Amino acid sequence: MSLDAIKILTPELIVILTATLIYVLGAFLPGRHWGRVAMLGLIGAAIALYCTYEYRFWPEGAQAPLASVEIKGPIAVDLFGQYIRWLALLVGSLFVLTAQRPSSSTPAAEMVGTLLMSVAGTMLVGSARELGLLFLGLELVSIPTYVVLYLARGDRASQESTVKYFFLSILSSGVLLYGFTFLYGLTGTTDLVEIRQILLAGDDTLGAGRLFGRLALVLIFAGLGFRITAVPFHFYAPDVFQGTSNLNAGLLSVLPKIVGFTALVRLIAIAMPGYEVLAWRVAIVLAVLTMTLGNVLALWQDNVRRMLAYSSIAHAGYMLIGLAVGLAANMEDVSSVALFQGIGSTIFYLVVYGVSTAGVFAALTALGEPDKQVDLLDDLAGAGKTHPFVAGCIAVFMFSLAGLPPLAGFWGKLSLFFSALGVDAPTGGDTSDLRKWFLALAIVAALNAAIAAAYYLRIVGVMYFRSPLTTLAGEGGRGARVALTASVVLVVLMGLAPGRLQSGANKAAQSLLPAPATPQVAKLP
Amino acid sequence: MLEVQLLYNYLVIGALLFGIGLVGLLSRRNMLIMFLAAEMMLQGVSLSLVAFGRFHNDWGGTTLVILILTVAACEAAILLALVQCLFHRTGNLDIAVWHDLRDANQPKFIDQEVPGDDAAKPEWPTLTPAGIEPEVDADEALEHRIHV
Repeated sequence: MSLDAIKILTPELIVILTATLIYVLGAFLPGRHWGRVAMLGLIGAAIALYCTYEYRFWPEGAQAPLASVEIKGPIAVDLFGQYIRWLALLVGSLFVLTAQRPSSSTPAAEMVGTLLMSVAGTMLVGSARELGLLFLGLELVSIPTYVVLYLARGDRASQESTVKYFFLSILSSGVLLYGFTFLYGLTGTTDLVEIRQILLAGDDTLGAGRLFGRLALVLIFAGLGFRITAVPFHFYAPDVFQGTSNLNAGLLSVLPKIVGFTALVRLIAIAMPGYEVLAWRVAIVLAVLTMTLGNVLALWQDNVRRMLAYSSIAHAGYMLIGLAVGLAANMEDVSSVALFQGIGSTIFYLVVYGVSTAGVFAALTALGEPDKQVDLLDDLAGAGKTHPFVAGCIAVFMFSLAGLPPLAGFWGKLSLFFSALGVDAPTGGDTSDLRKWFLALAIVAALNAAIAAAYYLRIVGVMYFRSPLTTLAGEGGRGARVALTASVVLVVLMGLAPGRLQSGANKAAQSLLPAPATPQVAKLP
Repeated sequence: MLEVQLLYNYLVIGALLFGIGLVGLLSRRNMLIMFLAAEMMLQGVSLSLVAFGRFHNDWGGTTLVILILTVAACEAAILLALVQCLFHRTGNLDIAVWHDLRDANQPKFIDQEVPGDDAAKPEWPTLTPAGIEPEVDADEALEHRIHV
């Protein structure tokens, strides 16, 4: 059993070992050897990626490397965990490449090592099936984030953003842990599979009725709401993004969202049956507030990172749609097809959003230079003429984020909206209320997509139809250019052939439940 | 139902600790005090976890508490390093010093100004010498340390 645990965790261990190696070697590397450090990080990520495929690193009883295995213990071996691992490694490698030329006050080795630590945390959260491991994974993402934020630049703004993020992050950890406490108190076990079984059996030893369960649900939503920047808990994001570097802004908009949604799916959609009625209502309200506020406020911004912070808030709102669908579908009277489609489309959207956002920030890094980065929208004016390749890539990412066909973002939004429209009762029953709610949600989301197009296209317009105000250095380093090219290729490829990734996401969602009933998942056009 | 009542007593204390910590974190302005308030929230959580664990006769809650303590120690280490760097820059631990980042054309939100450094130096009280200072014997000073 213990050997199995080490086998399963091999990819995470390799990433952590690489980070440690980078820390140690960083003490001996004189001067600016950014390139080598980044290469070491990439090699570690590549070995870890290989290990997720390799049959030898799977526990006994696994028929095929990607099959779900029923094992007891804190680590889940399922396709969902694998999907999150691949996603974390992919965006992690993009960020490591982007980090190749940091500012002169940043120690490169510490930066890359710390970044890899938070990638390892993201991978750990993907396959955590126990409250303790889940908590440790979440902290392994956020503690390195404080360090990375501080290391970004030596100026006052980045220090302010570190302070703001630090205190709100420990507040959210406390709230989330209080939610864990009530979940534990309700059931008397920390294993999420056992929690699910006990809640399904539904015996009440505490004499408090459903109070503890509801408290746990609300506190978990609040605690993870900070991570995914859902609206009332979003307020730190614009300030922190504005104060830090472009690389860190990308990191903050992708990794916390991945872990937040993964933990929400594992904790609420899977481990808490019986509380869906409250859960999907909370999720719908959060989704509507989050996307509307994010998109509307983004219209007024002049700072690129601040605008992208509001855009990242809005995208969290879109992803909450899929979660709401998954939660509503978890009730007995709704088909399980919608459950898997809801969660599947959320994690598909995570991939699409993660790659596009990592690309945008890599492009902004590439346009700046180590000690003077692109801050304002005006800085980008005329980039279409001075830096045609990078500007073209930014335009592609903006179209993808806005959801224009045939790019990846279009398929992400389409599958989310279709999953919301697909909520329906297969066997009669009084669910007209449910259907109305989700219809309204889909309409709000479509309106929001239209609002969002305005500010994404504004960036494109500034780049192509205005004359340059300042000269852009374009000295962000070769790594940032490689990362940006890789993301542009991925965004276009995912736009042209989204089928396999999408069905993979749906399969990953199906692998979540301990005993899958092999439902037919309807394919999108 | 005596056991359940005992459990609820602990839960009430845990909730109080959590609540006081939350209020402290939101209302205090000294960074160290804010962090201590956050620690108090975690203590409330830990107390509730241990109480639940005892009630269910399960070690999971206690294990989680040990993990929480470890993580809190990591966070404290990071906070101390951070506070030291910030103090070097501003010479101030007040959180209200840090309000440069906000939406453009929004005014600063200041409930109370940060007290300035230019206040007159306080006069510390001094002790009047009582009696005569004894003479130091040079030979004895070689054998014994006068100041310990």
